[in-house]
Parts: sequence; structure tokens; C-alpha cells
Amino acid sequence: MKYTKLQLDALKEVINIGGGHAATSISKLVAKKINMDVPEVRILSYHELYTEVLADSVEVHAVISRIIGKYGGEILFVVPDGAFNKLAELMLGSPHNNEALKTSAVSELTNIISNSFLGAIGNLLAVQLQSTLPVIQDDYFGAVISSAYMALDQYDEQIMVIRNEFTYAKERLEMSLFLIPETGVIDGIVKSLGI
Amino acid sequence: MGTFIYDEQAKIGGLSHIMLPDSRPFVDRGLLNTAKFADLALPEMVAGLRRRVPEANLKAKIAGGANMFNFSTLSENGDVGQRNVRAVEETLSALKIPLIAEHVGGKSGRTMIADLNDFKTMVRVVNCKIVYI
Repeated sequence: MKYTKLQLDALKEVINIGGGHAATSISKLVAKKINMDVPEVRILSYHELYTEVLADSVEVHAVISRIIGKYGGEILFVVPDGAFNKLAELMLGSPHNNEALKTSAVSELTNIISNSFLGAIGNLLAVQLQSTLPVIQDDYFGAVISSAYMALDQYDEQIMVIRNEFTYAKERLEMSLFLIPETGVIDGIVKSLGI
Repeated sequence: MGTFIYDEQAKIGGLSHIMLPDSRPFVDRGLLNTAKFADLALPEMVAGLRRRVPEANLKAKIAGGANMFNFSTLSENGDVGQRNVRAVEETLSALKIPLIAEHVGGKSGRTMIADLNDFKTMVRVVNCKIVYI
């Protein structure tokens, strides 16, 4: 994987626009101000991912959906336990003990983020992108992330990590969004941006 | 997918973590990480064990091979989890190492920890009871 700094910056900007729209749509939904950090676009080995981003042994809630349209891939949300409750509360307006209800609320939240994220990127690139209904899995981060890349037949030592983090009322929501493109998609995006 | 190969008498053992069944489709990709492929990693580990104990009476335990996300981009040979299990079993059989125990398949990832003092092998799955194989 070799991209110039300019290409990675352009890609980061595309993701920034997508994430910005996503943050706005959650803000509207919950009537609270949600911000998004500058996205991270890096090529990392699994080892670096586990030491610099999140340890492979952390238990997480994973919500994953397939991206369909001109550029295929997956959109993966990784939510640690504590953040999961906070997100559910944000959606439901008050704390709840009903696990099924919380799971459904967080799943719906990620659905909204996915689609506004993809809608904004699609607009920018003049293509149509949609996500399929999400699959939810509780597992170790290492198992989740490697399975997500391998489900797209990506077996390389190094992976392109495209990640967004959201904040709410100065508190980190610790929900990471990973965009996992099919092979060749990044080249296609870079090309369509004309750089 | 984890493979523990050991000999209790000789007090020796090795643990391998592979991700793929077969290195052959990747030979033109330059330098391969042999530890990642069932067909390369297991013979290499066994050779390492036999260098220390040539007469070792080796046995194996395996865990892993889950298929978490079923997006069916997959080949007719089954998902990569299933193919890993099959490849490890075939490689062990070619190396004439009996498979003593396994904990494979399903949808959840596993952590495998082998203890070289008592050769107990712990398998942990999220939200499940720890099992020893």
C-alpha cells in the first residue's frame, strides 16, 4: 500500500466531511451537540493497531454493516462497554436496564451514522452508497477487527485504518468508526478526486 | 486459529497462531510471514521442537476457526475459519501428530493459553465460561 501524503490528506478530508454530516445528524436526533474529532487515516500493522489504538483483548460491542454501491466495503462501529451504556442513554433519553432495548437503540444510532456518513461521501464523489442492516457481535477487539478485514479477503500484514471518534459535551464517546474498503476502492476514490 | 503442539514427558511445547490455510496463493507477494499460514507455520514450529528434542512424542490441541461476519464473499470451499480448521488438521496429519482435543467453529473469537507446567490449555470466549481442552 503506497499513497502520497497529499492523497492520504485528501482521503482524510473525504472522511472528515462524511463524519461531520454523521455528527450533525446524531446531534439533531438527540437534540444535543455532538462533535467529531479529525479523522485518522493511517496504514498500520495489526501490532501497531493493538498498541496504539485499542488492545486486542478489550471486549467490545461491534456493529458492522456492508457498504453497497459503486465503492464496496464495510462500516464497523466499535463500542466498549461503558460507552455502550452512555450511547444507549443518549438515544433513549434516560438510563435503562433492558439490554435488548439498549442494543436496538445503539444499532439504530449506528445505522443513522452509517447512512449519513455514506450519503455525504457519496454526494462528494457523485456516487450512490448505502449500508445494509447491521450485524451485532460482542467479542474481543482483535477478533472483531481481523474478522472484518478477512471477510473482505484482506489478509495483508498492514491495513488501512480509517477511524473517526465522536465527542459529546466534551466527553469522549469512545465510539470508533472504522471504514474498511474493498480492495481497489481507495485507488478508485483517490482517482475520482483527481489526485 | 491456535495450535498447541507439545510433549508432556519431554516438557516441551509451542503455540502457533495462524490466520490463513494456504500460503501458495501469496507466493508472488514478496517476503511471506510464515507464521501466518497453516502449511508453513506448523512444520516450522515442529522442526523447532524436534531440534531440541529429536525423539519428542508430539501431540496437538487446537482452538479457533470461527466465522464472525457472514457476508458471503466467500468461496465454495467454505469460510476462512472452516478452511483454517481443515488445513491445520491436514497439516497435523501429514506431520503424523495426533490431534488430542479441539474447540473450533462458531461465531465468536477465542483466546487460547497453554501452560507448559501442567499442559492445561485454556480457551476463553467472550461472555462464556472458560473451558480447558
